[in-house]
Amino acid sequence: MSVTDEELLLASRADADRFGELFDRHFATIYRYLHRRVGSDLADELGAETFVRAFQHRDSYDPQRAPVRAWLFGIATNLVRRHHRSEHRRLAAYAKAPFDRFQDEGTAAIDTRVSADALSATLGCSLATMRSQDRDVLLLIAWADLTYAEVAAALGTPIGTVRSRLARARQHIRRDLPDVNDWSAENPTPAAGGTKGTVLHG
Amino acid sequence: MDEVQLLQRWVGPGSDPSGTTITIARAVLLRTIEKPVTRPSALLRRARRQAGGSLTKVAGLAAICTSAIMLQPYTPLGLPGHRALGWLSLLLVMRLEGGTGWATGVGLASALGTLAIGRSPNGSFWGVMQYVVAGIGVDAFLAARPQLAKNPLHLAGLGALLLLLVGWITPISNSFVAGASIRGVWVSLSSVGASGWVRLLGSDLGFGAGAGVIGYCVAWVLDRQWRHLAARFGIETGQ
Repeated sequence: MSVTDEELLLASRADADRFGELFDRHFATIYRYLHRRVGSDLADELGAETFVRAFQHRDSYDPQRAPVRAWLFGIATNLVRRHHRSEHRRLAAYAKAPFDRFQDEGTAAIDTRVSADALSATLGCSLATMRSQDRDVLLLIAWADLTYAEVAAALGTPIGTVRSRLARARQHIRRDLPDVNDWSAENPTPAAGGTKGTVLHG
Repeated sequence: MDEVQLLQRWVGPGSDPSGTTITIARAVLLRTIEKPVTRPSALLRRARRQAGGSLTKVAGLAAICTSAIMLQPYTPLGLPGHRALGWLSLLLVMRLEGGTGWATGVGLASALGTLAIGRSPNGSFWGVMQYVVAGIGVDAFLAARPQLAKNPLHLAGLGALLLLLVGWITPISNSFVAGASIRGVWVSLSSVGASGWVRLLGSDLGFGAGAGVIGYCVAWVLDRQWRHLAARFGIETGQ
């Protein structure tokens, strides 16, 4: 029977070398999340720092409060908060990049491309202007694939707070992108209204 | 497509770490693991676990509570035990936030500090003993019955009981310090009329219960707001 993350972490209190197994299990996942949030340069640094901090604080880890995976995402998210300027630069980079994922390269019409790029810019701006607590919840769900309960454990907040922050974050995006629900892979141009096309400056 | 799906499509699947990134990160971790660190003592580790991982928070809170108790003003209300709304609720907050031992510690520090700055009710050691005894009482009761801490009404009961027990320390010690004999104090107590007893006991019970509820509410607010405040001021939370 394989050892659970929680058992490994508790074992690492007595035998520090066992913490390396946790690194092997979770580094790539944490890195991908950090890479999406702050870009590759800082993700390299924060990915390593996440595990160093987890190792240093392993004595205070309580398996009753959070699974190890959520705990690690909590540490990573706390580290991202200290680099909010880098995160904003990353969002600006996303906003400036063409939103090609919605279009078929060969057939996309010019107006579709323009709308998709405008949506990208608005989405970046919307995320950057959102309250950081709301953004953390939204991005832990969207980019780290955590459940509500895991987000609550990662951030040390009640699950009700997670729900309300997520609702606020969704509302914020919907306010900036009123026709967000009309977007799909097949229909990259909103039916009506269009995006605001706000430009986010890094 | 909802907002979450939109965000996932927006940034794509995310990049995997390169081999170099993994090697460097592993090396950094191994250096930390192999570094001979001075492990905190078992007592410190236990205190940190009890405090939910953040000793900074509890130590800061202890300093604030100790100062607040030391500097709590004397008001001319004339109601016996009304100051417990301040000091007793702070001792309860310390126990709820820090775990076992913190109420006693803050009670002791407050007693010594109050004596040091000459604000003891009668200038003597006995005048501040109620902080120490109440701190011990809070820790002892909640160590024996931890579930009391989860309900504000239970804490109100505990506060009332504690103030009823310790509320007598200051007036009786005042009498002894003033030179009264045991018999003299007994005579003085037995001469209190029924209405006087109702007022004394009622005040202690009422203000003690109030302190219990206030302590619960303050701890509840601190629990909910701590991470937000820590993030704002860049304080280590233990995560």
